[in-house]
Amino acid sequence: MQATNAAHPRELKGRQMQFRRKTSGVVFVALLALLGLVGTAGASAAPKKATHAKKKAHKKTTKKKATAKKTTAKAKPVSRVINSPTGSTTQSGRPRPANVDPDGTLSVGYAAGASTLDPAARASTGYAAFMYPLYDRLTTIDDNLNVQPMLATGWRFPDRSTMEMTLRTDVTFEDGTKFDAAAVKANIERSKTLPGSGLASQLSGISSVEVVRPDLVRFHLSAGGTELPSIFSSLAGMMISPTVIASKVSLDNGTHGGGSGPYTVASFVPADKVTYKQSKTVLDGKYWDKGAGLLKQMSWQFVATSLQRINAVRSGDLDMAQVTGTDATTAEKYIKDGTVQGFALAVPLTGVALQFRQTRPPFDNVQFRTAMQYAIDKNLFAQGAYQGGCDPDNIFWTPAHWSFSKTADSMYRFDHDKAQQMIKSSGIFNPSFTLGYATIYAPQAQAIQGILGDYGINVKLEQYPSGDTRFREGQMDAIYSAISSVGVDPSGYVKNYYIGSSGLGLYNDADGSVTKALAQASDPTTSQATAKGLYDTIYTKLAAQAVQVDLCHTHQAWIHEGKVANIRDLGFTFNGIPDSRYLYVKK
Amino acid sequence: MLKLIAKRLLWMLPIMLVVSFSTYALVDLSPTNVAAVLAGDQATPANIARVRAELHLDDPLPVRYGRWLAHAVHGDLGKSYFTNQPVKDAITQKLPINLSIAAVALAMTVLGALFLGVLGALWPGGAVDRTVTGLSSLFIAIPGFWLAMLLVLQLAVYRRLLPALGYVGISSSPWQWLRHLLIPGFAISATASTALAVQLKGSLIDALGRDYVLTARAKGLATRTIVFKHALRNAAIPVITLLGLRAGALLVGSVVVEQIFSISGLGSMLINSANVADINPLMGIVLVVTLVVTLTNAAVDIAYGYLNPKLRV
Repeated sequence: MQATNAAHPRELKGRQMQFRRKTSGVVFVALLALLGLVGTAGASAAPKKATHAKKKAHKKTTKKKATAKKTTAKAKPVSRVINSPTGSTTQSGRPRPANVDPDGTLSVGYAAGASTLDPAARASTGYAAFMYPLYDRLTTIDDNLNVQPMLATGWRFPDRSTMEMTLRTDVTFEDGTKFDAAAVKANIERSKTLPGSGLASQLSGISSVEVVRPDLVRFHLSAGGTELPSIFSSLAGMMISPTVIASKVSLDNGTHGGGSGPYTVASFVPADKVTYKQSKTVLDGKYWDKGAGLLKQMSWQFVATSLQRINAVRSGDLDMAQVTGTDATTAEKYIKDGTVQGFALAVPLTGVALQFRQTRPPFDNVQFRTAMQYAIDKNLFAQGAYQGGCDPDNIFWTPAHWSFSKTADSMYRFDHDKAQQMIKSSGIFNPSFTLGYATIYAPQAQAIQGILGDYGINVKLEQYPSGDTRFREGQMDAIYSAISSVGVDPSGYVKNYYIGSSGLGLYNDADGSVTKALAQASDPTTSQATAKGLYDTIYTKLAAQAVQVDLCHTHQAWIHEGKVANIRDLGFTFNGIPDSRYLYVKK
Repeated sequence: MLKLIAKRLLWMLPIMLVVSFSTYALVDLSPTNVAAVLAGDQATPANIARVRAELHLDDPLPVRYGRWLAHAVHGDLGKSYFTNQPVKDAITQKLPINLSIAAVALAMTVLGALFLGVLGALWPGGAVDRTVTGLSSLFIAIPGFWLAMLLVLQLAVYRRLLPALGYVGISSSPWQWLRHLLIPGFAISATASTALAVQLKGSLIDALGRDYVLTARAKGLATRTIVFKHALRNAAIPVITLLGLRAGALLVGSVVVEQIFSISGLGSMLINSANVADINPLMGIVLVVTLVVTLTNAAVDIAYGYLNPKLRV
């Protein structure tokens, strides 16, 4: 990615071709791996794809990776390359830029505040933005939605019940403890067993963790596995010093010194503000990723509304801010006219949708549910309810993702007459239902009420607080809600919304075919091509039950007043929960 | 006088009990499932049930309230389910912020009301009097949050004279502390200040027409002495009543202002706790606000007694 400040609202769409080319490369490497021509897991392919310049810059890293290659070469050839590293410029372990202001400070306004800085305790995925500067993760994800190494140097699945991960050997935690396989084991076990852990469900497929060597850890799996590299890029993959874990101190305020990240906590006010300072390893020049931790001080502050954040950047009270919702359009306008600098994009892993509970009337009628798929003009909705700051879609995964299904995507298109006809033929007289919505979606819920009102449907709106589980428990007809995916592996998304006990369970999988197909797609021994076919079937079946109307992918903007360098390298913008470790201020 | 103070303070106990139980019961009626929020985005029903059991959320309401009350009377307000921070610490950290906002707003209210009220009373029917009446009508009509946003745009975004958001502690920098509180303070005090000015003006005009003022004038006392030493004291009783009512509103008003200026005080904590049914911080804040409001009301009653001995019954 280039460090430019030009506005680029549709940048992800523009990257689709690039992504396809890269995907083809990944498939080719996977085929070579299957033939035994490439002896090791995905990570080992990365250096081969790196440019000469990058090779020079990362000479040391590459040497270590080569060592890792040797150590894993005796194991069986990889069965499936899952989102293997592609040598993207967003991967970790970069050189330090030449023009860094060593006294640079940055204040950032963000749409959420963290209640805790402990990745496992009561942590919501949204808190990750506050923890990325503190903790390195096993993996990361680049802007092309590929999983990349971070503390891990590679991974592979020798068989369907085992995942092996090779690890960096040059990482030290803030308290002086070395990072190794024993640290990984201690962290995974803590996240699985900590009372009230928010990660226990995500890690439930890991039955045990085995330390093979200091630089090689083996995960024994009881189910799935393909999602692990992806979920290790966020809270579940954040590593804390095993010494700190053993001391049983509270990790809530982040001042325990147990992270290995480029920053440590200077001060923390729960649900409000975190101020970071450079970690000891960065100050000593020993941090393994020279391109990170370049700010003398950085603060992330919760500012409730996007409009406040825009105003604060314009008034100079904040250096940089995230802008979401309908205000993203305002921010895009300001970027275009030069009032502020920054960029905007349609967030590929965050959409909005209507979800129906098919056990409750009128959604127990498939004809009526299908009518809803045709009833909404999504272009008009995106224009009216989001001022154009939302890209209309038909399914959650965009064409940028490998599991995108053309079949499911083309099943429904807006057709007013067809919708009206289907409502009539559903046999429901004077249809009526309750639509729940969170406070921030009041205008959009009202827009839906108006649109469906034109078909003679009486939509009663009900605002619900966060943590309201009535829809989840089957006690509400429908909701207008944000939908997202924890990682880039689609199995988590399907489980979260459609099937299984840990999610909304919207889909009625009476014949068990979707559950079976999902288990097969999540099996590491299944090739990605086969998995893509399976997801095509899964998405088509989910769409056929018409329990969710995908509406659009919301826009998000990152704005600043010109002080911030590298803003386009703000990682994780694909889900709106960014990793700010590479930001810096120019001299 | 002591009897009056004791009576007023004793009345606070049943009020606090009623308010605390009502709040506890209302939170219990909320559809928010705190265990589901705590268990994480992808929790299974078994995980949620485990969290419920850990927090004793399956116990009957009276049992849970009784447990909270027993701890509260010993000074233990519990911990937040989400931040794990002791409620007492969180309140200690945030209360000075709200008291700062309220103090600046109160000072602006009193000074503004005195200035406008006295000027209006000295020249009744004149330009100042009409201006005060007009401003009062205007500020009563304008919602405080709208005025605040307007001031932010004009003074912070366009002219960069004052900060658009945030708070700086008085110990860090008294000047920055004041700068950060000027717009919030004005936004809260505008309505109260002009309403009080109208009230004060009426009372003062009435007081200035009394015989003792005529006597004072005949004795040759300066207008400043007549107004501030004699008339204002007698005109103050209805104004203090209104100020007492407004003092509570100033604290509650700061809750709204906190949101507009992104200040992390008790208001944000209250809203965050209410959103996720985090009962301990919520109860802690309700307790503090009830205490402040009841103490203010008691102080107003005691002030009546001080100003008018006939009211000491």
